[in-house]
Amino acid sequence: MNQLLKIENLKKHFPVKRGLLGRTTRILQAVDDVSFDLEENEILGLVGESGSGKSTLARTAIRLIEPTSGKIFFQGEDFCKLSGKRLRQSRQKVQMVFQDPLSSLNPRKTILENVGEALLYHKLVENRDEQVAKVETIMEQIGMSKSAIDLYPHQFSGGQQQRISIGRAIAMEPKLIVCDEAVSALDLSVQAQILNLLYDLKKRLKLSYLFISHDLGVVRFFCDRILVMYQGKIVESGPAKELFENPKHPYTQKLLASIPRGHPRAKK
Amino acid sequence: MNALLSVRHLTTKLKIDGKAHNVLNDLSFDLHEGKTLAIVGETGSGKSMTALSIMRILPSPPALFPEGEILYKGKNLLKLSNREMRQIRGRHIGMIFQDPTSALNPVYTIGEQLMEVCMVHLDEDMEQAEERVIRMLEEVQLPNPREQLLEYPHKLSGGMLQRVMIAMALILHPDILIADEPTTALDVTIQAQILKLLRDLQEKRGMATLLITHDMGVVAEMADDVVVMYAGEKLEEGTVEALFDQSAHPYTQALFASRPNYSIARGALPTIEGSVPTIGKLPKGCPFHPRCKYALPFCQEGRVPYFRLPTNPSHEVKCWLYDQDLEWKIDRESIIED
Repeated sequence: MNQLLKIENLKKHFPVKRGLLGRTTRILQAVDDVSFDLEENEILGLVGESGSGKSTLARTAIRLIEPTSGKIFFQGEDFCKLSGKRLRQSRQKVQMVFQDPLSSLNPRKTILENVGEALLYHKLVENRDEQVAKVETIMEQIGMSKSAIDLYPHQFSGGQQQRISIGRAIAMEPKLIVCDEAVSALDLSVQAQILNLLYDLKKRLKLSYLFISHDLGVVRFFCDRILVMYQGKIVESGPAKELFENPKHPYTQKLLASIPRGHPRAKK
Repeated sequence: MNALLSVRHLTTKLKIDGKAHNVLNDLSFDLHEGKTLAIVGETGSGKSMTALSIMRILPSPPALFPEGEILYKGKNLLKLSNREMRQIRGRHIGMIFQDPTSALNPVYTIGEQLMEVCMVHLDEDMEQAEERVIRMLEEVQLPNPREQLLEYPHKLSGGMLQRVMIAMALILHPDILIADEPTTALDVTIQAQILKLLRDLQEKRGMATLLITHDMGVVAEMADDVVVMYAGEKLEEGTVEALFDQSAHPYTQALFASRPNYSIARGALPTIEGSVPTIGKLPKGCPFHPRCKYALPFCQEGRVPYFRLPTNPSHEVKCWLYDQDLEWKIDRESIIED
């Protein structure tokens, strides 16, 4: 398999400022010397508690936040060295889906504009007719009605809004989608629909996912490989099944032991 | 066994644009001493509305005063005056909420907020109240309680704040604890600690717990009995074992089936088509029938009665499939097995 994303010794430090003069009292090492690979067509899970640095790692890895140091290779290219037009072209290949779909969609724009705006910007379509046609195809791919493109985000349910966010991401014909708690705010029955959709799209469009979640059940089910993050470091990584059946690091063991039992008779 | 709290035919409506819409429809259940009853349901099922109705803290407007009966030790809470109800809240029924950061007042210290409860309800002075608060914080295993008293809520982590909330709910030794999604905002390791704390406290004090959650894992860990709600109605009720082993209602079955399970191929999770009906757009008949794969013509009209499972009479289901007297044109057994 081909490597899509390669992260080497990535660090992101935030200065913590205190007091009237805003003096830096301490450095918060949100991402502390992290290295990992993500292959094409792979679903890589990233788990950890709040504050462990999962979201910062994901954002730094795709340069939404500038890293303090370290190297990022995307499709073999040094992502940190890119700028201007080349950076924009590469950025198009990396998209993101967030936890709360309503706040990540623009409430004053229709679905056509929300999903289709960047199509014109990145010149994936020439004119408005092509834009409409393309957005309609995307609506089909995400299991929604074509006629919905003139509606506004608030007119949809949470699950539909998340479909639209996913539609906006796949419109850019990306190679990699970072899903930051993309199914965490959804009800169980809707979560199942969205997980099926994500998997279906991955197979059809040959996508890779960096899948951040705090829900270990979902991660075990959905991911090929898992990274466990704790205090800015990756403490353990491995294929999903192996990691769950035979956790090595004490923190992973503690995390897995905290998962509620699946059945009342399995009580501890 | 006598119920500590009996909810009978509880109906709560919201008045929106001059029209009243049901958010709780004819809801009945019992809560027993020393037991945990879990109410599970998805967004919009009415599980939080149930808690707010019992405590009589519904947002009004738009909520109208609930109909039906909420019997606590023989008294109908819905008939009490506001003054009498204030004696019940906190003193007899304690409540904890999902988000401890927004449930505590940010401009008062932890100590001030906890001591106020004792001073108002028990007429204690500052010193007595402080002693009681410290004992309670020790009970919920908050480290260094004497120092934490002087802290403001933003200084504490989510797990610590939830311990403070539990302390506040239990400091007056209520008989009933209502916990509305108590661990949803917490990390899984902290969730495990808080659930254990709730179990230990319940065992020690013998209180009844009404646990509201959407998480089947939390239900499996905590509940003795379970009520499954959908669109403001109770669709199924039974012991936790019965629910997990032989879920009966098509909705409950579908909900269990849609849990991520690594024995299922990815991309092939069973789903429930459509979405939960929104307020004001409730279907007639069984609220689940538009999404139900077994729906029959008469599911679309009229009220569905509760049926008891012949194998387990304590297991109630609001679904025509369990009517033993109906002559079935289709092979019923094969439908349910499937």
